[in-house]
Amino acid sequence: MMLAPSVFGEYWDAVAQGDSGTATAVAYRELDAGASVIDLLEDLVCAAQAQVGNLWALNEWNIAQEHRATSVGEDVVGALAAGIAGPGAGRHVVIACTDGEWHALPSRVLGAALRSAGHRVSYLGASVPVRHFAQLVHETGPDVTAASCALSTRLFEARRMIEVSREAGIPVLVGGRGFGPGGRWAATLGADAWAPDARGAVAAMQGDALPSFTTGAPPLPAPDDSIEELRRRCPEIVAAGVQVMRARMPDVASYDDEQVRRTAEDIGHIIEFLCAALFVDDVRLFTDFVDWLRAILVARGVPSSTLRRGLHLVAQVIQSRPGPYDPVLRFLAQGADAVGDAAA
Amino acid sequence: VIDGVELRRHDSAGTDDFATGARPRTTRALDTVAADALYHATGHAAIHPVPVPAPVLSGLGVPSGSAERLARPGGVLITVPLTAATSSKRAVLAVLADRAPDDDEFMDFGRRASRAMTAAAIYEEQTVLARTLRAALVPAQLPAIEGVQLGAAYRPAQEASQIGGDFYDVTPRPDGRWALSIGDVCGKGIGAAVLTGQVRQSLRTASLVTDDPVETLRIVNETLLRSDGTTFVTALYGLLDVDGPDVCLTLANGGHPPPLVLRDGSVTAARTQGTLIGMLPDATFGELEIRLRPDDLVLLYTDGVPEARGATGLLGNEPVLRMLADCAGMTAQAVTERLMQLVLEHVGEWPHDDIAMLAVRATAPQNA
Repeated sequence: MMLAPSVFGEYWDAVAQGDSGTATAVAYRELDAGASVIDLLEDLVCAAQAQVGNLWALNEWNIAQEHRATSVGEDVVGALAAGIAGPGAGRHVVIACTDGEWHALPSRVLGAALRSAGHRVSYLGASVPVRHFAQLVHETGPDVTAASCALSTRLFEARRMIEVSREAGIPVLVGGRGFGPGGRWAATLGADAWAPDARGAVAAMQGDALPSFTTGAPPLPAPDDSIEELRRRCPEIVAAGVQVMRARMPDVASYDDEQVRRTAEDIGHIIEFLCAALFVDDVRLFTDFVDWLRAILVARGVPSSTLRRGLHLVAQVIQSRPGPYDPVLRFLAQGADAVGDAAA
Repeated sequence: VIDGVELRRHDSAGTDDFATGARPRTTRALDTVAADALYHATGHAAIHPVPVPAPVLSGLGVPSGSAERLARPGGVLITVPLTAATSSKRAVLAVLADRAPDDDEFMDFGRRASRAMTAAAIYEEQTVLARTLRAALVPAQLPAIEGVQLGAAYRPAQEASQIGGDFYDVTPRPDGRWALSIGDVCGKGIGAAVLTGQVRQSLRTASLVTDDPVETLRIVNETLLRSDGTTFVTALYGLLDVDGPDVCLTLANGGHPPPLVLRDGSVTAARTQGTLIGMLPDATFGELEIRLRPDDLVLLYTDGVPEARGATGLLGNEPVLRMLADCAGMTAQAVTERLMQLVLEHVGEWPHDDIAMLAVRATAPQNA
């Protein structure tokens, strides 16, 4: 059943004000009026969360506002989940965010959605260390594991979770933006199934998408030693990158401490996303990131030209280090081109 | 699939699994007389031509006919006895194959599988032990208390065992108030964890005989001195009273980092001190009272928070205070989770100590 359009507006106002009580009351009222838990999760909680992300990206909201709104979403999910009856005849699923992944709301939504569909859910929460995950998987022997990953830089950890689960014969369902548009990197990393959202996950659990048994994860398509080298050298590349940018770019040279810190952070992200792109052997992971970063920076008053020049300088820094970096430099060049195209 | 031979395991559920090749997850120990006979008769791997002799099938608990449905003409059923040295359980692995394989190969596989079963049996015992210990020590779920919101975050240093020396606890008292504690036992791992259990239990017991938090810590101090004298603990212990106009928290401090109070977007560290618990016979414990107005939040934490070490050194108090000040209006649980993210992101891939946080936030009066 469709929610009335005014309902979202009402819910959003509560979220924007950090008002959990009202947000929960709206959700409960619609539940009583006949909406399903999954509708409320998708059309209120997730829809509002997407809005929260947009406002942050546009620099209209700061991180504290984002966190406050997110915590309202978590309260609403908790309240909805509390009302769900005990597990039905469904499967037992262990849900975890990959190590380093702190965006827990999507996985909480997934947990509530699967519970409302009659599955038994063991929820491990945000940033689950692989060792912890492995232990739980072996101890509880679930039918399915579900890994949530919102940041592509955490795909390394996602891969390890997939390996651990499949090694135990347990199929893996993955979801989250980290796996790319349409989940394009889910199969590459060896996931048995991918779902775009909670509704899709419920469908995957019910259909034939997930086998009852799975074999070990297949090897990655393009194992590349330069990734490890690049990850190891990340701190020194960041330090050198900041130095070179300050020396060669007058606008960067005039940055205050906070801006320098942010620049260093951005270079760190650039390296991390580069590594992730190499990991799945798909330059689009990197160009998508560059595109996103460009929008974020422009919203915060940093012109595209600064990013493009910065990417070129980072490439020079990397080139000056020992080691074969051919694919790294090719990806970086394509990233810089993507900025050029967008700016033109 | 091993060397092109498909393994299909019989499951206790019945023959359908055998026929369809169910996921070989649980191994059923064969405990019937027939299985014993089969086991003894085939102390080595045996190859049975299809049709398989009836005694073999009944030993496996499989009705005659099901093997024939699966095996191609000329196929065989291979039985490989498996046994764990440390267990009385035994199993027979049954394999349907299109052709008779090299007998030695399967015997060798049986030996290796038996060794793996021995290791697995030992591992299983240890797992049960660890799980029992963990169940007793992992912080219990926080209660729901009218008038306040509670939040907690906990990460033990030893991720695999998930047992640490930090603890927190919120338990009801007969007088309607709540006993609340957070603490950090010296040392790490199982040893610290066992002591953690003792300390937590001592606190609970002591809180039954006195409603004075300082006196409670004195009793625990005495208990620890008598039992050992070489171990110590830092802790905040107090009573939470939600009945008055303000939420009131009366705390005694035994050498623990001071609580942080968030009010109107600014953070202050409560002024309190006290000696470690379990070291000195004449220990002195500081007492303080914190009154919380609606939306005020008090954060109790262990030193794993400021002393988290990452690539850039110790985290320190400053980032914690800064982030906490930025948490106005957030739920207690969201605050502890956000701070835990701060700590663990700082730590990165470095090993960390136990980390525990407990937050209490006064909620607006009802009907708000």
